Amino acid sequence: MYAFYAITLTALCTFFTRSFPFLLLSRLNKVPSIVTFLGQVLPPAITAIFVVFCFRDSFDYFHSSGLSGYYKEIAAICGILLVHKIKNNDVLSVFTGTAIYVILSN
Amino acid sequence: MIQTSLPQSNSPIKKALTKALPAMIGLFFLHIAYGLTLANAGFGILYALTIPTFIFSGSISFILIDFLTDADQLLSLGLLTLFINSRHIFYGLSLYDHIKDYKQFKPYMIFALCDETFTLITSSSSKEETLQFETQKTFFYLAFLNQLSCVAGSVIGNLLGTQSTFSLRGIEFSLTAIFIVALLNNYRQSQNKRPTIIGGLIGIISLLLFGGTHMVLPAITGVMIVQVFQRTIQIRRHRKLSFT
Repeated sequence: MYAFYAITLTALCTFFTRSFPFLLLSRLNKVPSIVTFLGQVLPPAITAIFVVFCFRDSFDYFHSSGLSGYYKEIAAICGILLVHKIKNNDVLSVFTGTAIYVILSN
Repeated sequence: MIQTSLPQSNSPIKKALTKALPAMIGLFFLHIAYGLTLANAGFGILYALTIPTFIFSGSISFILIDFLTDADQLLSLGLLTLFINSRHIFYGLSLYDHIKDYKQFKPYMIFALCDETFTLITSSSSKEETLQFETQKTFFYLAFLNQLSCVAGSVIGNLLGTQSTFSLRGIEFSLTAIFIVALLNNYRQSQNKRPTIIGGLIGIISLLLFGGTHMVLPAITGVMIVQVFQRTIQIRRHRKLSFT
């Protein structure tokens, strides 16, 4: 039952974020400059925050084996950086990083 | 059917397919990973079907898995969804003029405005095209095909995970990979590198202070405070200079 509430809540919130401009702009005439400013500045910062968020669980290793415990993540990140630099293809880079991590995990 | 004066050699579906195919493939494989992750966490086909259908947002649907296993956090989940998907506000803002003219597809277009669909629409439309019914249909099919790829991938991945002994440990890393690639793209495209760096630093501080599950909201709030503070200082300095 909790799952139902969780999924419904997430769906409603997501739909709200997508429809928000359409609700708002039909009433306002111009967008306040602070909104434009945050609109330019927040997305890159939020993406950086998400990357940290994705690694939130892996910091447990540090206490046991130090930096060498991170070989999977480091290898995968290096793979992504390399492939993205060379080919500049989003799908390929994601696939490479995931493949490296999965291969090292199994 | 409205007969246009120009002969239409490509149907809207075909046009949408050719435009969206790379995104569809990417979304499909990402959602195979999602289906597998769901299966690893113990969730079956019902979840694999309903989540991409009703939520249709890759990033939050991955994070949702953690919240499904870790109950009683509805408020955090709601706020987290609002913040993580806040970028969608800017999608609607950018496409407002375009979408407000849709008559029959409007609700679905607003619902299905995910990252990939937004990118495809903004990179391919021209001002003259936007008012034509044919283009509206094309973009509708585009959005729909993208979502279809997500649902299909999710279901197939989940079936692979639950029905067979096929297990792919570490597949959740796909979400991390997506964010890293997005970060690289953002970093390269932005003139001011500071927001990315500030976001990363504040993110790490927030992680240390608040722990994994609760770090995102304080981090985003912290970034907003820092940025508004910086901007206020900039404006004050600008005002001082213009008075001297």
